[in-house]
Amino acid sequence: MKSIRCSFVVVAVFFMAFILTDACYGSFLDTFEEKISFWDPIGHALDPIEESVPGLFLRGFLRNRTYVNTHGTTQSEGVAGIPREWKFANIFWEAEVEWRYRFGQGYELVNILNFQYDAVDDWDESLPLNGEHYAERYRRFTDIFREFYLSTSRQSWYMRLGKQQVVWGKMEGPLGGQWNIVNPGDFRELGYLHEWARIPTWMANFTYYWSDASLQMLWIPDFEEDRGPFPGTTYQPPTSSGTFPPFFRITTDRVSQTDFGNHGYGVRFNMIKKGWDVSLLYLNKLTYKPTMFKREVTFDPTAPAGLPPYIVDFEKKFTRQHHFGFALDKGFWFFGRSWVFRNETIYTTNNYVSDRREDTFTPGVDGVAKRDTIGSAIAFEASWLKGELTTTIQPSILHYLDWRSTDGMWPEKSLPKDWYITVLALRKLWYDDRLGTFFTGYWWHHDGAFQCKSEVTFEFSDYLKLAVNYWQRMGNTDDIVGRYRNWDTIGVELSYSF
Amino acid sequence: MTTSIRSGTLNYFLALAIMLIVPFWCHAQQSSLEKETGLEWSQDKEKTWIQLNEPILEGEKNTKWHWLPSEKFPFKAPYTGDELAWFIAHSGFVFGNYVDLPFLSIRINKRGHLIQRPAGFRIHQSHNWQDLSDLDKLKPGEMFNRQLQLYLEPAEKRGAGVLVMRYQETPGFTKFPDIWSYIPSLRRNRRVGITDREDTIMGCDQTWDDAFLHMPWQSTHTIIGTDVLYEVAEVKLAVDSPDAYPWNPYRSDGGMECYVVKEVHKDPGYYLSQKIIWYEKTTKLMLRDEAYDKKGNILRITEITYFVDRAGSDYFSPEHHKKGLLSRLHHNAWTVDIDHRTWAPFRKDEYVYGEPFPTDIYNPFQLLKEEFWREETKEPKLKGPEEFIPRPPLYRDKFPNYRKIVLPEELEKRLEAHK
Repeated sequence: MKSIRCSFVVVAVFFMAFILTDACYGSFLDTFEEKISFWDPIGHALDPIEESVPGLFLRGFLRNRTYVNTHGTTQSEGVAGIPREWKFANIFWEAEVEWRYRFGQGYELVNILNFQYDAVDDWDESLPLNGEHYAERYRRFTDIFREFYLSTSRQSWYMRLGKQQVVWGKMEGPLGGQWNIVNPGDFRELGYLHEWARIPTWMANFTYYWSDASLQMLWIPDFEEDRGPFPGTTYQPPTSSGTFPPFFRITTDRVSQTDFGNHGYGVRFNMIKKGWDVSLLYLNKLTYKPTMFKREVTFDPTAPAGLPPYIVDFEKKFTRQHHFGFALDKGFWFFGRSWVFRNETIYTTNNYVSDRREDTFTPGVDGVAKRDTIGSAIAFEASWLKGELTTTIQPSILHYLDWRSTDGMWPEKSLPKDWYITVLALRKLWYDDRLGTFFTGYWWHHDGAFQCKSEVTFEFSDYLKLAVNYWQRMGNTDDIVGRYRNWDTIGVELSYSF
Repeated sequence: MTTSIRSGTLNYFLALAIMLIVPFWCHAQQSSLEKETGLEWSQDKEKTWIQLNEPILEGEKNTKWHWLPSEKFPFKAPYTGDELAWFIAHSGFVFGNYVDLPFLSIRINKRGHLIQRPAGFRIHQSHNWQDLSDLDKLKPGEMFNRQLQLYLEPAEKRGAGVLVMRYQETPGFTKFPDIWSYIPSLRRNRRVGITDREDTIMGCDQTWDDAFLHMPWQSTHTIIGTDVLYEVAEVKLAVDSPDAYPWNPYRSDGGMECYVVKEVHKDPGYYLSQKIIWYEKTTKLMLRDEAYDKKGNILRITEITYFVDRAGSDYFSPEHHKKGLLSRLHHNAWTVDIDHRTWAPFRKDEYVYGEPFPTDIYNPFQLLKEEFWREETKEPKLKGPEEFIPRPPLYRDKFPNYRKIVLPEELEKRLEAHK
């Protein structure tokens, strides 16, 4: 196993080294580069269809993302405490097909179909998951039928109706994404920026434009909850088994989408004056992460020995939240160079956190406390070394109002009152901007944890791209990030878009 | 019957007289223009350039706007180098208040790797200050130009948009353009910064300074001589304006007479040692631009051809600038040391200008529409590197006192092979 992994890494490194060396000195690429720049077989095959149906546009991609764990062959602290032989962390095969049909100026119908499969189960017998059950996750119609909307555009307004994603946030990292609250999130991986990290939902999205301002209004009748890692897969938190104790009885609140009371409503106003870009937002919606409210504690004399003689009834409920946001960005000239400044701040009501004062077996209490939060991130972006190196530094904070030291699930570690995370992103492009080197580091100051992604990408052409990346995580076993410290991966991503 | 014959004969002779007199009169006009310049142009097709023994330095400055020439715009011959630079300053790609054009940007590296990007451009210039008297209406920091760019290909980047807002800058007042970029795959639209003056834009052979940032007052301009160009960017009719009387730039042998200006940035730390620029004598259009690195060696050559519309118009009339008068046809740039080239051929029949469009399109939120505003036509793309426009000529012999052309050995071999 070790040899396979090593060879994989060696091949990837050798390949990139070859590209770099040959780009500078070689001659093999003389013909290769010329030919590869025209290599688009599917795109060429689709051209006749587009030509025969005026207004139709087709595109898509095929991609493989394979990640290998760089720690040992077996782990005593494998997924959810189960030892696992690490052949691969993930082997994602992904495809997307998008068709757009423009049936008149200002009218367009768009459909994006998404196909994914994680082949890790085929390769790794030690993976403690029900492979078939895991695979089913990628066969769900709602996942495949990713986006489908009708857009109508006029001079001063724009309307998009259907299944879609709306992106409000512009910042990086876990706290930087606080403005991205319109769609639920898919957190199967630990990365923070991926085009599939949002779950599109059915909504009406209307925007009215003035010359230097816009007003966007959303009505979201659809509901989906956030998705975490599938139980037993790579990024399921290693400190949780993914199952509840047998004396827990859980009922789930089904969110009826025909009930207007469950719908989401949002508005965003944006204005640009003299280069100042200012936005205000309000979003009223159900939270996408359920809260476990303890409803009843019943004495159970039939409980097996070793277990508490109680049945504890919980209700898993999605509660309503209000979000009030403010964003500002500005470009300015300072210290002999151009800078970009960004800020996003958001106030959120009705976050529920575990309240340890309310013991599991104490009747009459729900076990949670309601807290409001305020989160903010500021970013400064500039370029150095004659524009070759671009840096972004982004401190961010999340503060719990009315916080108590008893907030949080684990006695040994309270929920932090303040979360401080700083993101540092570096980017350098080479070789006609086709070779990219990237580093993004996330410092979790409140936890003393750190994670980073280092990546080298190469664009063979407008159609074919290769990336090699390394995810590294450091920290303590009880940190959000630190518990994954043995989950460092090296990944190879090859994509062909047509 | 007799009357109609007489009338017809009269008309015939009248037309004949006009046909004979008008070109003569035009030639006389042209001749008088030439005399006014106080310079002469070579009639020798072998040696087309004349180097001035005494270069013409910049003249007096305006008392109110000390960074401008003292003479009222439009300047009259004889010109100084900075007057020539100001003639087309801020025109950017095109003249006109409203311009809407599709274009194709093609890049090729030394190995024949091609990147072809069709896109659409919509430009709104709120202030047309080719007429410099507009300056008193435009305060420092005020916006004068907005550009919206939408990419149609490659598939992955279809719908990617760039929005640029440019502001009036004066000495001591720096305000770089505001730029927003929209990435379709992320559905994210956000402000981006300008990396550096000398950094190329998206891998093209054009720097931020070339495209947006450089203003004539940042440099000194010296006329070092005259030259005659017979083709620009492989185009013989570099200024495509067959009826642009009285601004016909062609002399009888097909040559275009140019002023040759040396431009040196006032900042000693600037990334270039100098530029040598060819300004066409009649239209004042910049036909050729050579950038030299800090060591004085040739770094980049750009040649531009134009399409001039509204024949017979007064070229420098602000009214015609508002409607749109000329646009680029070919932009052929070559970064010599790495042998990388960018070619942007524009199709003049697809230009729409002078027709106002709503200015609320210049709102970063509009980028989210990913919508091309006009009927989309499939751009004819290149099928191979051999179809790429040839490199601009080096003219190794011209102005040897000012131009140092030393190429890497490998490039010399490649050029020799291409011959």
